[in-house]
Amino acid sequence: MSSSSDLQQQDLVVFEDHSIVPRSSSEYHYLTLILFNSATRPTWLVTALVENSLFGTCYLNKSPISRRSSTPVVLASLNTAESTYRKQLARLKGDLAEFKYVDLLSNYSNWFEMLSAQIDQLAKKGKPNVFLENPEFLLFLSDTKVDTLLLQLQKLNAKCNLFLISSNDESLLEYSEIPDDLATIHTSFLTKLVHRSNLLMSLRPLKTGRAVDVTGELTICRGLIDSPQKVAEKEYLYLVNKEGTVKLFYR
Amino acid sequence: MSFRKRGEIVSGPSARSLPISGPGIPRGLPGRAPVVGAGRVPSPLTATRKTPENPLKNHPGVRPSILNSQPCISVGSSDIDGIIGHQGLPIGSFLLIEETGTTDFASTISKLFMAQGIVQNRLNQSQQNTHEILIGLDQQWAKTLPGVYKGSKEKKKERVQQNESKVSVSNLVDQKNDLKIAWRYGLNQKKTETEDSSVDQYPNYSNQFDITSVMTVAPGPNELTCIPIDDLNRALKRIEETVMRNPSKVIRMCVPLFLNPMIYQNGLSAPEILKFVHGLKQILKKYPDQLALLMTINLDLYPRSNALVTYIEQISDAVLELRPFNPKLHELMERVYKSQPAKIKHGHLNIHSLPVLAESGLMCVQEMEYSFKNGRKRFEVEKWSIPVEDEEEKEEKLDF
Amino acid sequence: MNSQNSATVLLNRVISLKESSPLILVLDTVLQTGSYLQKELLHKAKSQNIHTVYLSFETLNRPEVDEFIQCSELSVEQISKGIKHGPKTLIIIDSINYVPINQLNSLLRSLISPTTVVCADYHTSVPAEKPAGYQNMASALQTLMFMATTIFELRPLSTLSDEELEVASHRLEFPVGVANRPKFEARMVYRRKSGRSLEHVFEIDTLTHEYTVKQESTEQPNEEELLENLTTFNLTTTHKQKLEREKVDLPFLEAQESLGAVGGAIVYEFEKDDDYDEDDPYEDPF
Repeated sequence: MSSSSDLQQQDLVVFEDHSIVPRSSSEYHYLTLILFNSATRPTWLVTALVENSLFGTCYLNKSPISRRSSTPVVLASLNTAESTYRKQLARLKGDLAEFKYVDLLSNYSNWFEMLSAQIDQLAKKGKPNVFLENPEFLLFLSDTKVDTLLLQLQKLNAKCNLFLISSNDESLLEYSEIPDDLATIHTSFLTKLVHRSNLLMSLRPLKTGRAVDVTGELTICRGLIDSPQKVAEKEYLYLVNKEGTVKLFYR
Repeated sequence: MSFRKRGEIVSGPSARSLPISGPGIPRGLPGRAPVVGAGRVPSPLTATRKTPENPLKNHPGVRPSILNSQPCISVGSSDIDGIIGHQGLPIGSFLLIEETGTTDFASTISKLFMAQGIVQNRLNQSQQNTHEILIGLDQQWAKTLPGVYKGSKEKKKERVQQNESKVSVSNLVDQKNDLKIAWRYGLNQKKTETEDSSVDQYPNYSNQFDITSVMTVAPGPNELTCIPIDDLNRALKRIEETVMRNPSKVIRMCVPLFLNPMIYQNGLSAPEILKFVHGLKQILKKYPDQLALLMTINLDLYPRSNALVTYIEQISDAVLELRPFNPKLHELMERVYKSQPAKIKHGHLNIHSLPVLAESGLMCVQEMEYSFKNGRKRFEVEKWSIPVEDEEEKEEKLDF
Repeated sequence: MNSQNSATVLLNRVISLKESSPLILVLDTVLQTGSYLQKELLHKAKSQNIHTVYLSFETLNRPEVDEFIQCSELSVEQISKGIKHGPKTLIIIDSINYVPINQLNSLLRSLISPTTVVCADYHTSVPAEKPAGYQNMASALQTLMFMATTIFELRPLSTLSDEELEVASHRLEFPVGVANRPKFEARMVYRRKSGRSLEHVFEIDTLTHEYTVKQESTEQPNEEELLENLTTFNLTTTHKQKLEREKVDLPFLEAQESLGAVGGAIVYEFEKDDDYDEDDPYEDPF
């Protein structure tokens, strides 16, 4: 039985060099895929990655991170309201001048142009980290086909390190041979993205069911494309409590 | 090897609202301060809500969440309000109620949700405070909204007032039983009210309804707008127009029986449906200080394993599932609780996600932990406990 | 030993493009990517000065190749025209999944020539859609497997059973420390011109460039045989006895069905570490 109460709190580490987000490099463009289950939403993790990109710190970690970084960030979601992320970010102490939120929930018709423009604008300050939540919504909200959307995302990725946040609920992966089945479209989109990824992070509830002291498990896996910065593969248990504090434990 | 107890009691927000000690201050339990945002410091968003022109200020049907002080409205059943964790549905949220089987308990909740708003709107005839939007159904449905339960507070209050005016010798001499009881109730009432300051502080927050009765004056077009769904895009436009026509009011939006073939035309494609649901959320988040949405859907037609439902669940902020008991279990309960019919429940209430909490990353799934009962005067939700057969019966069975 | 030796020699010759095999098909999954095998081919080609061409449908960051062509927005004609051929050419297609089924044939035919080797990667985890009108036609995978002269089927090296891997890849749950490592298992089917096909399972380590034949776990001796001459007692069961035994309802399992249905009950959940013998009716986990 896994219980977190007797375990020691751990720091979030993603790469072998103890960094959390990929180091900005002009030659290599990273694609990170964050998979979540509907029961374990990733807002807290995205906030941590945004914070780490902007300031080099991470609110999940006790030990301060020595590497001061300032990577501009673009955050966009097709499902979460801006206010949700604003509230999350409010607890970060720091200047959000290099942070841009693109509200795709209320307007997604020109999503590609809007994101592109924001990336170009921020690029003067360094190659940005771009977070896009629920990109798969575009597949049914606009008449975009899977391969077209993947191509557009790749074009964005060519200018930034891209973090895509998408759900892998089982019901969305029960695909068939029917091309316009939602699950087929979702699976096709997601598996193709997986094959392009450099880093895979996933959040899911415990298989044993609900527990008081564990919210779920976070796994960090290398992506399918080998990248210059090596991923430190790991499995954490994590606990989010009602005050919004998050703790990580080794499994 | 592991064993797990199904239906294990998990500490968390209790199903019922506990009496609150200390009047005046909205309950901020230690360790239950705002879920997101800057600790216990009110976030700028909540601060803006308190500006004078805010529709929520002094609204009789609005109270702060016990979790993060976000303004909430009552769904219509105080037990469900408790289950949601905030003691109500935070304004700006989208609650999805799913139901399996051919029962229609979800519609009871829809009606309670709507009736609650109408009653609050009529508190002060000179100033309307609430508007309602009914999507897919017409005024005919609205006519079936339940009336306020007369045996409850109001009736008691009436009686207390009557009694107080009659405090005299004649009152003592009065032999009428019901008045005596009323007098006693009155005393009790006073006592409980001082204990339960939440009722005191928000007396009109959650009215109790009698689902066998019908609201005496049916909601008129000035308080309830019905929007047909023959064209989903047009419906979205009309919803937003209605919202804009009713500034500084709380707006309860309800989509009962979503995708029910009796109401929704066939031939809607999955993307069309999702565009509509996403469109509802867009409107909701555009007016986050005014709107709340309740949608009900039947899982027999659209099971949770269907990707369409998963997407709808993802778009929503909270998902509750009503799963009526199968006949066998119902029989068992009837047998076990022969002498206590009040204990007979109608089904399980499963939680799949909760507003604000799920979004900030908490795992809210609780299956087979609660049961519900659709009573005449309230929609009850209780912790589920397995019915245990009597000893006698057991012995009989073992006797061979 | 000898056959093992010849198998690794064959693999070496295929990967170094010395064996005639104009179409190498790599079947990968989300749990074991083909990108390491592509790298291995490129590594071998480079040491022999073979001209390398990379047709990218999904790769953003250019691998170390002579020619890198972004194909997502190109037609088949544009793709084949854009390729410059050397005396010997290796063409890698990062994923053939993106080529519509009706253009598959024409693309491959335009690429394959006596001096080129085409290595196409097909992601088997990606759902194969059949467009309208193709319901009775061969699927892309069937076509590719029919045309290919060498097929590599990749699988992570792990103790997980095929079924467990199948479930993990279907749910997109990545077993930590198992999936997508540079050392993996590859089942190779090589088709000779004579029509005879050879099948071997290898462990390929792309970091050290070492290939070994995977030792097939020697088959477990049959339980019957094991018990046969162990003692003078009769420990074996007859077929009839076995059938009878299978009919016995295990009481605790039965009990769980009705108890578990109402919730609140203590139910036993099987975990992989449990030492629990399904055939033993006397072992009760309670």
